[in-house]
Amino acid sequence: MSGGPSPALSKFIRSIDWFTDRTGMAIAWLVVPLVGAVTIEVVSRYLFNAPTIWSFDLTYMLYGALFMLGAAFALHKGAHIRTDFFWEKFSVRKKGVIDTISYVVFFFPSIAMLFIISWNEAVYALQINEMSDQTPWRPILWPFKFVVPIACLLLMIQGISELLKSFYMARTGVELEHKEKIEI
Amino acid sequence: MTPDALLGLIMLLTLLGAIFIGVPISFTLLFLAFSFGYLGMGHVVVDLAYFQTIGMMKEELLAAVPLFIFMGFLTEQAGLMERLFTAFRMLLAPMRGALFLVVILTAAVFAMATGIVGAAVTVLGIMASPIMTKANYDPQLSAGAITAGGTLGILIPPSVMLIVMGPVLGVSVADLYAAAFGPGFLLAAAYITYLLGRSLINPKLGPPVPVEERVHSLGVMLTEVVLGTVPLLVLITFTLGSILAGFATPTEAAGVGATGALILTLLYRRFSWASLQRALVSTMSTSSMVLLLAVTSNVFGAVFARLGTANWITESLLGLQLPPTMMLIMVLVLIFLLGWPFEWPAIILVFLPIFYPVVKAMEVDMIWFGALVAVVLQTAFLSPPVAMSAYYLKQVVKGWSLATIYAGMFQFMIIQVICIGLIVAFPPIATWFPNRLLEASRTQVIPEEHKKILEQQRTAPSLEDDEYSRSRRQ
Repeated sequence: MSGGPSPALSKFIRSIDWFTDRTGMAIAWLVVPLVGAVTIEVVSRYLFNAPTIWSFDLTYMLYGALFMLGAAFALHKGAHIRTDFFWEKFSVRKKGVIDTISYVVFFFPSIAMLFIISWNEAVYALQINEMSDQTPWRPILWPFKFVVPIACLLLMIQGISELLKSFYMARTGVELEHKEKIEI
Repeated sequence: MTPDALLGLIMLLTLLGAIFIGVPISFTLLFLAFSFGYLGMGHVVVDLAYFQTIGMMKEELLAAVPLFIFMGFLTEQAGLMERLFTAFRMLLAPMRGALFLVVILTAAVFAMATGIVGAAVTVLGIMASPIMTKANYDPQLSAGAITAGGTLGILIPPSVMLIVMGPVLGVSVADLYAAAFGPGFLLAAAYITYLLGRSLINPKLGPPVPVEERVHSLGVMLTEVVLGTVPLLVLITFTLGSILAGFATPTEAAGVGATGALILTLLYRRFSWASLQRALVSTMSTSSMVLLLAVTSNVFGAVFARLGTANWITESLLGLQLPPTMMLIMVLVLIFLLGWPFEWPAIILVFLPIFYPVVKAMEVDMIWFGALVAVVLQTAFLSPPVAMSAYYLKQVVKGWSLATIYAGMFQFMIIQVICIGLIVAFPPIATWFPNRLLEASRTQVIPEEHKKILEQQRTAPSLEDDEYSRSRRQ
């Protein structure tokens, strides 16, 4: 096997990665309103003695959406931690085999499971027009609840690309992309 | 031991097996929780998993994680580390071992503006290593100083690790922050003593800055020191001060800190859209990794607790009838050993909850215990052969071999062990400051709304199941 994966496969993988890159870069901007919501609350409470009623709900909603929706991008960047105690010493082929098995056995079934439960919960929240009971603001909860199934969907989309890459690694012993460790 | 508890034990062993091979931890946790949970408790596991997930997403306290990470990336981009480094270098130039002192001081101050380790080691590596090499500093000690100083970021507030640890240990993040100052400064002082001592005995290891490179104009020096350090110190004082004084929750302080850091990048004229996008994306990746692991390990932990395995482990360990200090040391050694193969998010979120009931049952001060765990995990960052900080440094400094870096780090590991011993022997190193703050808050007249925040801080949210049990009760 030389010359890399077939053009069709390569294009398919690259378009998934492109999609996750773009959506990830957009989702990362949720940090900005998160900073804004917290800052506005602090300023209006301490400087003007007029606390907002929306800040608390908005803060956890933005934070929850940020890390859940960002999970697919993190998967693409290889950010989800694994132990490299033995990992670094494995051959590319062996890494590919382990990753292929773990995507097929661990990743897809459990994310699909979470998708199904959270989808049902989100649809239910929409039907009954569920409202938050944590603050007097009482915002509707269904947009927040739809974050979980959407995050699962994004994860599974990127998971397909990662599975194809690991399967290629397992078959040919050639690494398609190298993932650097992230800062923690 | 009940059959369910045995099931949970098999689940734990399977987890260990799978993650040692190198399977990503988050997805393994979720899969095992679903499959073993289904065997042990049937369909309930599905609801349990969902409520744990959404409960974690509603945990407003943890919004401080992305906010503090973002603040750290922004201060790094504002070039504040370079500023600190230059200012300290001008000030301390005539001393023996000046650059060692500069590295540790820069790292310690920067640690108070960032919650993670990577940036500090990387930036110090890029910035300090060429200067140190040129000045003929000992490579081993230099690499050791950079890696050890850099890891202070995970210990000294606003450490992201302590935010995640608070709910796990059931103590407030503000208390943990207060408790981390003593050990953090003790370590910084120990590093400095060691480095300066070595350079005093043998000036070849760390000579003073050459006379021709020193700045002789007092005006230039003062301007640089004021411009380079004061804005950052103000930001740090406001951010950490408001948490410690009980004026703001960690999330509020983090949000305002991030805004402050953004203003600093603008003032230092280092703002660009491209670098903002980079900071945003890095913030999202790191927080997503930590927090998704928090979600999945909570699902796993909930199943584990319900199967009764957690209880079984606690009772078996307590059945050993070890004296509390012995047990504490045993737990710390275990955490240190786990720190080799695992990074801190896995240890705090997956393993600490297993040890927690044992330590709790022995009536150990949780704030002190938290500080000890934090120092032990910071040490793990420094322990060869799988030390993250060596990895970060090697990436940016090609001139130093991995063997040199390890040899340097090993010397600092010995300092770490001595300091851990000191904190075990003299708990006030960690607990004096939080206790002092608690006393101060009792004697002070506090306005009503501040009391509410303090209350919120003290009653640390428990991540265990409250969302779940609430929903069952309805």
